[in-house]
Amino acid sequence: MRKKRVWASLVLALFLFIFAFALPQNTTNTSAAAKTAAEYDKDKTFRVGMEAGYAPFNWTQSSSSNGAVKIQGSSEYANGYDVQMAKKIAKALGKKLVIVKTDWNGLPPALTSGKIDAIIAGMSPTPARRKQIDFTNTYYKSKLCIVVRRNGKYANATSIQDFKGAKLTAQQNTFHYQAIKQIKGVKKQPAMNNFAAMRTSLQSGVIDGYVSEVPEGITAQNAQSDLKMIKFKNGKGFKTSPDDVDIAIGIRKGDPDKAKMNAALAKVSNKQRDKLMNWAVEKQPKTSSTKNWFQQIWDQYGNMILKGTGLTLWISLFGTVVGFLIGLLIGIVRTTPMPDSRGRRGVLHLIDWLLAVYIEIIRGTPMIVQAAVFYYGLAQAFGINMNRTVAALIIVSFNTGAYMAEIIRSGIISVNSGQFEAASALGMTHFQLMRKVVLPQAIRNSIPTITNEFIVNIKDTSVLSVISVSELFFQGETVAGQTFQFFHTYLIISVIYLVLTFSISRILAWVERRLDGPTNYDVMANPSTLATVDDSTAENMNTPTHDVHNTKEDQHD
Amino acid sequence: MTEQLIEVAHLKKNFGKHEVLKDINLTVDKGEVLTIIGASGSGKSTLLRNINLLERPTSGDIRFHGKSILQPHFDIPKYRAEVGMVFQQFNLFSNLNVLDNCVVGQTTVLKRDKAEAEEIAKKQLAKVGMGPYIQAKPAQLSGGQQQRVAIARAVCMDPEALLFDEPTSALDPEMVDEVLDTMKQLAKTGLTMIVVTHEMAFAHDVSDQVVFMKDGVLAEKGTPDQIFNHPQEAATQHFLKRYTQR
Repeated sequence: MRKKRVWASLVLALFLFIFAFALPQNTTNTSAAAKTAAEYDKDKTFRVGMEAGYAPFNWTQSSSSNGAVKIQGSSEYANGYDVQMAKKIAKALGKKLVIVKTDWNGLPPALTSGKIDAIIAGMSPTPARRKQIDFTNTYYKSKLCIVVRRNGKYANATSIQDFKGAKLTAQQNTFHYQAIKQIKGVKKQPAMNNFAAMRTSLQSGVIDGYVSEVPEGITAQNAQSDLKMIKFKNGKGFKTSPDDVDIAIGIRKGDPDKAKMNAALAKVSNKQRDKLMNWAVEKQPKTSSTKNWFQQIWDQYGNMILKGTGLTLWISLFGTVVGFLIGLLIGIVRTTPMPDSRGRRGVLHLIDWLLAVYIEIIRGTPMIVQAAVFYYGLAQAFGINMNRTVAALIIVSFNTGAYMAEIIRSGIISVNSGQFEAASALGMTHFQLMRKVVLPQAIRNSIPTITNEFIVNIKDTSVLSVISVSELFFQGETVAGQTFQFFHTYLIISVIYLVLTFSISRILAWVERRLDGPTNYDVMANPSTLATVDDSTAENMNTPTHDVHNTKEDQHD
Repeated sequence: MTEQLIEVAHLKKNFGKHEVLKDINLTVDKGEVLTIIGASGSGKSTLLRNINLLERPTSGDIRFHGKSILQPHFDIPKYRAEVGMVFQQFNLFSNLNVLDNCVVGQTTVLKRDKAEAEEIAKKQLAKVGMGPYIQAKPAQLSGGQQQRVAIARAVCMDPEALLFDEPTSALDPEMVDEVLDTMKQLAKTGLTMIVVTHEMAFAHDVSDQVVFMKDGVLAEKGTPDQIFNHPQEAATQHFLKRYTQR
């Protein structure tokens, strides 16, 4: 099935590498995981991870109709081929089925860290994956097809060799794309990132077709009437390896329930499987054509998108505020003058060094990697099972803190040295002069950069989808995966992002203006006396108190 | 009954290998106005900054009320509150308005309550003719106005001595007088003042003692009459000639 996104393996490799130091061997890994799994065995639950956004295998819906199963920690339901299959397995195991909605890249680490018991998500048992996790026998066998324009030149093709001279593409990092070279004389186009892009290219005539799998093909032709899926009879289609087209259940190595699961799968015949897939294709969320596209998406998923928006705003706001406080603290510490005492100087040097390490590590690694290492790593190494949103808040805060530290530090450095001198000449301690004089100026000068950081946070929370935080982008991915209206869904999502970021830049610009105070030059307590007092000031320099009386009298008048 | 307030003994200050101050000896009595004159780069400002400990002396001693301010556990913030400083570039706190510039030191360092501090600040600002401007931000004021606020800010701390580091050098000529007048008023109150300046008329009229610095040493010291009317050293004569001929 999908081998997309080298990301998954990269992220996985990185934290395995890191935790290899803490935990010498995989044996420790599995024992830690097995322990958490054992705990859950007591609960008699079977926790299954899936994206719930890859129809017809799995999708999210808002009601429990058609035998959908509630998603853990959410008011939504999951359904699809995978969900129905999971129900059969859970029944055979005598356990209660729990669906854990997990991002595609997060599935293997969630399994190895014991956050889920199985992956039933349309996943193929590739050799690379087999190194990390174990697989049951196949529960669905897929087939490659080509999606073309219904009224196009290739609409009546019956063999892959009919596509000689056709411009074909497929998804990046998939075996679909590798398979194209089996066609002689084909014009292989650069691989594309997702199906939305391929469908749009196909409809616009940039390509003549794309290689896909049958369930996706059926969905494509159902969703867009101008597209047609072409299936091939045996011997006329692509040659594929079972590693690619087989779909199996991912389980932890040494899972004692493997035999029971295989037995349960054996009871479902090929015919029943095809029937179930047809059922899933038919029941998957559809778009009715009476309303416009926006209403369609909004009516069905508006709530989901709004919740995602709320979470994105909350995480980025919290992260920016806490990150700002962290940055403030670090900025102050790192600009503290060296004390005279040798011991204190040593301590300050050490703290300074540690903070520099923190800043360099956080700035030097992508937040998506930090999120994966922190969330899955903690679970894998120490069995700490953290709430996803809490993990997200911590990650964004610490990430922002590292950047804010440098922002505040440069803000402090940019304050004129005369301000420091004047404050210390009044007898202020370092802390006092920082609080009363330097930091207000440093922060004021940093506001444009802080605004920037806030805006970056709003957008960058999207990487938290790697730990399945249901923020705006994650929700968008889900909606797009279900409606197959990638362009339209992401258009809505991008407008929401734009509204958020634009509002924030406006609000902070207003704060900036407020801090600067009025720009006019009515600097006197009573502007109407400006002229008179100015004169008297000039004339009565030797008796300066005079003009004050003047003002007072004027005010009494 | 003169009492020695500030005493500088064998003070040396190096910046790297460069010797800026070489064996400076100086005493300032309570209530006295001492003026330091000399060419740019002669070490006048460095001397003043050492007295306030904005620079750390390389060797020698500075005593305040007979006690060394260089001893290990000396309370520097308290000392600085007692010996105020007025800078060439005014250095008003640009985030605070005129009133708060004069209040912030009193409330944070002297722990006065806000109402009392504001009252004192208003009184001192009125004395320097800045009473009507208490709501203004420093950037809205002229240089002369800023410097008068800076003087009021220093006076609000009830210092025993005030150090002036070329307070009129950054001002346009027409604003110099308003600042010098303010300083004359202060001198009359009996405040101890050490003034680094190029304003020879002021030095002549207001000082009790004038010192002429050249290349990091005190080349000559004496009363204004001695220094300005009967300078003994050739260097002093040469320096003063350039000023009086202008």
